[in-house]
Amino acid sequence: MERVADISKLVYRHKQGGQFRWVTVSVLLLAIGAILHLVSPSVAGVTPNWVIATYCVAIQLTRPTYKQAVGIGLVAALITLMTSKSAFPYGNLASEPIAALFCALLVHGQARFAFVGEKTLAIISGFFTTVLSGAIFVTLLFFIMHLPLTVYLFGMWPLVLVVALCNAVVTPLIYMPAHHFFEKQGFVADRKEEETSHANYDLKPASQALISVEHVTYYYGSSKSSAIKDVSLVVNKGDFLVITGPAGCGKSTICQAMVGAVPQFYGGQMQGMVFVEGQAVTQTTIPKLAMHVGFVPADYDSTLVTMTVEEEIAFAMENRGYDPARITSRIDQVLTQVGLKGLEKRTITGLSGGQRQRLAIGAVLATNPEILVLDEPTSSLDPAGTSELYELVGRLNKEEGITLVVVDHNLQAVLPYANRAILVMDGEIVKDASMLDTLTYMYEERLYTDALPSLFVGYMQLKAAGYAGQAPWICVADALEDIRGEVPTYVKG
Amino acid sequence: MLRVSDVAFGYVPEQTLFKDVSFTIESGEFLAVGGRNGCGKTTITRLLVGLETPRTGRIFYNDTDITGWTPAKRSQYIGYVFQQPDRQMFRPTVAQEVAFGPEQQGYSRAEVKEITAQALERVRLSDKADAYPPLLHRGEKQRVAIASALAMQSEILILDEPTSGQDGTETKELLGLLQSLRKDGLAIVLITHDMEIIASQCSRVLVMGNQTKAFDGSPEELFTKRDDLEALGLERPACVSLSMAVPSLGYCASMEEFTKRMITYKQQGGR
Ligand SMILES: Nc1ncnc2c1ncn2[C@@H]1O[C@H](COP(=O)(O)OP(=O)(O)OP(=O)(O)O)[C@@H](O)[C@H]1O
Ligand SMILES: [Mg+2]
Repeated sequence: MERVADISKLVYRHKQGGQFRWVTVSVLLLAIGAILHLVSPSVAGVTPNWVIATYCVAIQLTRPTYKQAVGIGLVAALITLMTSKSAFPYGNLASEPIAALFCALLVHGQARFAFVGEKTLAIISGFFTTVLSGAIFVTLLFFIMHLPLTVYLFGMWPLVLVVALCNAVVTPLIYMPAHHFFEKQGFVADRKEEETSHANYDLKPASQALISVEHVTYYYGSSKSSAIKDVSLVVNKGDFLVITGPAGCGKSTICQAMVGAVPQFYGGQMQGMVFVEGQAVTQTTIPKLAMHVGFVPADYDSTLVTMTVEEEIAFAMENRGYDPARITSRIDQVLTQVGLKGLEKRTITGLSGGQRQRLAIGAVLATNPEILVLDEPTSSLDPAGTSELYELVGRLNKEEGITLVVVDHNLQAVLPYANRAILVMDGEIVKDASMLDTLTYMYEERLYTDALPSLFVGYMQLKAAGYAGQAPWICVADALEDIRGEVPTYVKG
Repeated sequence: MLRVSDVAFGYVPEQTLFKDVSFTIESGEFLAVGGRNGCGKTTITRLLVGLETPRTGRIFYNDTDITGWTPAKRSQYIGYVFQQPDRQMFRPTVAQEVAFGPEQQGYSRAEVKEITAQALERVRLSDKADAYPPLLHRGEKQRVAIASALAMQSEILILDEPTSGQDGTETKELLGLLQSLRKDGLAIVLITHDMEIIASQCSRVLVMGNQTKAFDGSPEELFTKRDDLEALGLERPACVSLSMAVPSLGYCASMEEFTKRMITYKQQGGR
């Protein structure tokens, strides 16, 4: 176990999720290869071997493991087998997987020869992979069909070399547009990207808080600019913490870091460390973290996976190992809490937007997590649903000591329940104080004032004019109370 | 301009989501549609654009019965911005996306180019004409969808919860754009759960509830006269509650208005 002196210098790199991306990319490219193979005209009996060219491109783009490369080769073999005009096409079953493996070797070897660019690599792999594949194929043919040696040496080998030369030309020609296209979709693996493991570090939080975020700087995927910069904060047991800030400021990234999705799911590079209940997020897994932290992402739709409403709640509970006997009664309880009672059997596609958001919240509540991270949980809720939700989690917070981290653009709704608010601007924390202090700071410094609750702004303006009491208006009742004292003509609203 | 007459609808035969729904939409209106989650707001707009067919009742556009028209045919009059605008974009660049409608209408290449450029200019997206739609921010995607409607010369623009999940600044910008479109004569139909937006921006509110149209009138009437707001899944905005407590201020549609009037009122001696 190695100790870490300065956690802010600790780096963790992880490849962006999408572990089946190599399948998508290679299948697409091979399909194109097969079509080209069928339609391309031959000049003097020679055409490029499109299938080999396309899997070379796929392997270079996705940098698969050796096992995966063999798989790509096998699929390529099957495609050629089915479309082959050769007398003995089965040789492909050996030649393509071996050649694909060789191509992967070339691609992984590129790291040692930094001067070899992507285009050069495409030329080299296009040529040698084709030579190897051709060599295996014709040699097998030679032995199995008992061909004369002269045909083998002077008929077949020259053909192999000519095709390989053709492939040395077409492989980079396919590679360039393919790279452009897949890079746009975020599908391309970076050659410099390597995985980091923290298994051998002895990582200890600086604070004993429930969640301790220490000097975290984070770059998504292959992004050049950091989403959050040197963010440090602690969440104590029993906190009701609100994170606010303009769109794209890094609020959601902070939430994702508390549940381990950053860096484990999104990949990219993280510096510093997040500890959840003393555990470094790079030394555990997202499912293990989920036993402590319940998370509703802003894109709540993406969390719904089952067919019907009740299955969704049951699924969440089964995943946490709940006793089936308890599940039924809990479903009932939770659906009542989120206002979906009576819709148990409804299919999820038959729910309205707000109903789906209620369900996503319910599924998380059902498992009684000690920490709840809610990213814009009320974006699609009606006003009643919004206040019910905060009443509910506010009660869980007060009575059961559940810890809350909430991002919401509707600050008025959380205001009565939150004890702390953090303002994030451009990836940095600019204020971490009590809810009212942060709001006051935003108002006085003119920072992201569009988000301030209108009641709060109204109070500040009237107070500045000398017409309001000492305590800021948390809710309408406070305001009415204040006005009642001031206005002789007050009538009950 | 658009008239909905006695419409009833349900997704499953044994259940009626709403019935006896009638209302009209006139040009230059800014109509809010409100109500609880699941009351049928999205559904009613899907009926308007032809994504669902009413069980009974008819829909007219300038006295032409369009109940049987396909969504494609209606799209020349009615533009729709989905809650997730990604789901309505298919083409590789913003300009091509916006050009799709006018191309289908048979305009010449030069005309399509002109129309597209104007529409993008109108929503301030000219600099994004060659961008790849999936890479835009949500607010930008919404504006692409709005530009598509403008390019079709739609007269009605329907937006399903466009401000949910938007930050305060984005919301303000979008509302500014919608107000300026409305000044140009478009009818805006906005589904929202934001009571302050209804009070401060909209000329009329339609509330769905109790399996029918529960309210149709001005925001002022809704927020000051109705005593079943909570039952309808609505809430009186703070500015209205406060202005009702000080009747001499009159109805205040926004907190800004309230504080201004309150300060003047106080300066004049508070009577
Ligand atoms: N395909 C469907 N099958 C059955 N019921 C459906 C289907 N689609 C919607 N519903 C139901 O119809 C009702 C109205 O749905 P709609 O989407 O119009 O609600 P909404 O008013 O837009 O709600 P929200 O505020 O949550 O967006 C809901 O109760 C919903 O559960
Ligand atoms: Mg809806």
